[in-house]
Amino acid sequence: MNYLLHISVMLGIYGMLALSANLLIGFGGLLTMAQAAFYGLGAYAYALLSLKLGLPFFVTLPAAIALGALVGWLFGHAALRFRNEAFVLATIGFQMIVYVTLYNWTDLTRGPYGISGIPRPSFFGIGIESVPAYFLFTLVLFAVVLGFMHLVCRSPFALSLKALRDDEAAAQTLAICPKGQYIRAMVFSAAVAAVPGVCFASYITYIDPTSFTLTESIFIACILLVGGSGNLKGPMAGVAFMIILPELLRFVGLPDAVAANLREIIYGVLLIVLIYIKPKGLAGAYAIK
Amino acid sequence: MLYAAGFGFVYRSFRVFHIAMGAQFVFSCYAFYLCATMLKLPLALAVCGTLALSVLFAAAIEWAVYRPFFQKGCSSGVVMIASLGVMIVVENLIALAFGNEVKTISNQLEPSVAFAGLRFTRIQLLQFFVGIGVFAVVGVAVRFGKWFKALWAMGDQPELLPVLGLPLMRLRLLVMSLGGILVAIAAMLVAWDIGMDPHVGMHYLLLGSVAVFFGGTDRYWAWGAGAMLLSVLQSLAMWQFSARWTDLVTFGVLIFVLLFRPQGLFGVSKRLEEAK
Repeated sequence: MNYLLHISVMLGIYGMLALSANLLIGFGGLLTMAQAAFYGLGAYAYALLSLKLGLPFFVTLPAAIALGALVGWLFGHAALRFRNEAFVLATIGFQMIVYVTLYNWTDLTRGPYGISGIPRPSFFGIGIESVPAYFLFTLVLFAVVLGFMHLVCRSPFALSLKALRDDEAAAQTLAICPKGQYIRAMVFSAAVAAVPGVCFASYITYIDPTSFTLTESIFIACILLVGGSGNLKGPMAGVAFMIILPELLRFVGLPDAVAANLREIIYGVLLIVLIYIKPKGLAGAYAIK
Repeated sequence: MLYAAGFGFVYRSFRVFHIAMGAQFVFSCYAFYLCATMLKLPLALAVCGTLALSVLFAAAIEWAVYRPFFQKGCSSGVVMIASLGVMIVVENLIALAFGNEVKTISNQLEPSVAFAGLRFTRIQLLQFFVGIGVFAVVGVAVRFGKWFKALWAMGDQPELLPVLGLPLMRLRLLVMSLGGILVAIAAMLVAWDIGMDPHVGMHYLLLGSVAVFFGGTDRYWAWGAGAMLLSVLQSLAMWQFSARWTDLVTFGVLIFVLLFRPQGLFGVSKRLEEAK
């Protein structure tokens, strides 16, 4: 039972990450490879504030979100001057800078040794310790993020992002400011990505930089490319497929080392085939350009 | 320099961020390992075998992946994602075949020479002179060769090439093969020096692409200059701080250049219409 609940917690964490990336990739049409950086910043902010300052969860969560939003705002000002490959390269650059900093700033982050003993959240003295309790907690966080994204997707802001994505010059003639709207999207996306970071750090109670690599960012982008983007169904389909598939492969009886590589090969082939025959992904509304 | 040149050729001619070049690099490393260590071929034969396998592999990527997407009229973003798929598949196929651990080609201590207070190993000297030499030879071909001018034109308006009677598909194959040869030479030199594992491709891809964007995407010599400057900056960071911070310097430089000189240090400014 705990195994299924663990998978559900991971589905919730990656669901929130996919929703955060969806705002940029699906609505804005900007392929980002930096989502794991914001995810990591959220995780480290929570771990350090909880352990070093002893702050409670209801302070550390907003602080992590605020840090994600601030860094997203700063990075957005630099990266959103670019489009297409240059934007992808800028996000890869940012992702690598965050990773190298987390890995090498050992005085603060303990580098490759990671941070252990991260406290689980507690409310009014009641700690969320067991896996079922954590599953419910993740479910609540996921529902809040989904509700927030639902509101965003139905707002004029999402419509303006779609307009910019489809034809930036035409959207500008309708008085839509690309810089302002894209920076807002980046801030929302980064802030939301910090939430699963907090969730991950407090669930596993140990973090190190290897959880927030470029490979992780590519995996998050793949979730959207396989599942689809530009609506709320696509990211959910992608998360279900990409998280449940490796678990199903466990039951085939392959050795662990082979299964990991085989899973990646299946992702890679799917990526090529889907982008060719079904560019909108399994349930998406937007075909990446 | 060689990796940057290989990446630059494909990027400049196809206008595609050729992520699969990371896979080509890993493939070439292991092809060299197969020829030199497992089959125990003489060095010259192992080098020729690796080059041949790398060209075939590059052609296979073009035939099986890039050409169908090109003929379907897909955008560069779509091809980039397919390229990412190729990278993931190849990297993991190699891991399945050879294992995830580091493989080395030479286990012996390299002879070294001292020059002006600096000590260089034989393979480091070979890397430097082969890199410069091959880059210069290709540079001369780019400057004077008719086909290379056509490759440059392909990057601007590929649809005009058939109108001028030039074989577009063969030229695409030429670009991929040339990229394959350049990256294979770089891969052999690296594999001989420090060995390989199936996941090194992305690291070298990022270094090569940063060098191209750092120098400027539209000039061949700028790719080499970008690679040289980047190497010097990395070495300075290693000398002054620590080897741990070299990646920070690389990507810091990338962000800096993208922000303040998007056309690259030696690139040419373009009008908005040209840049599209």
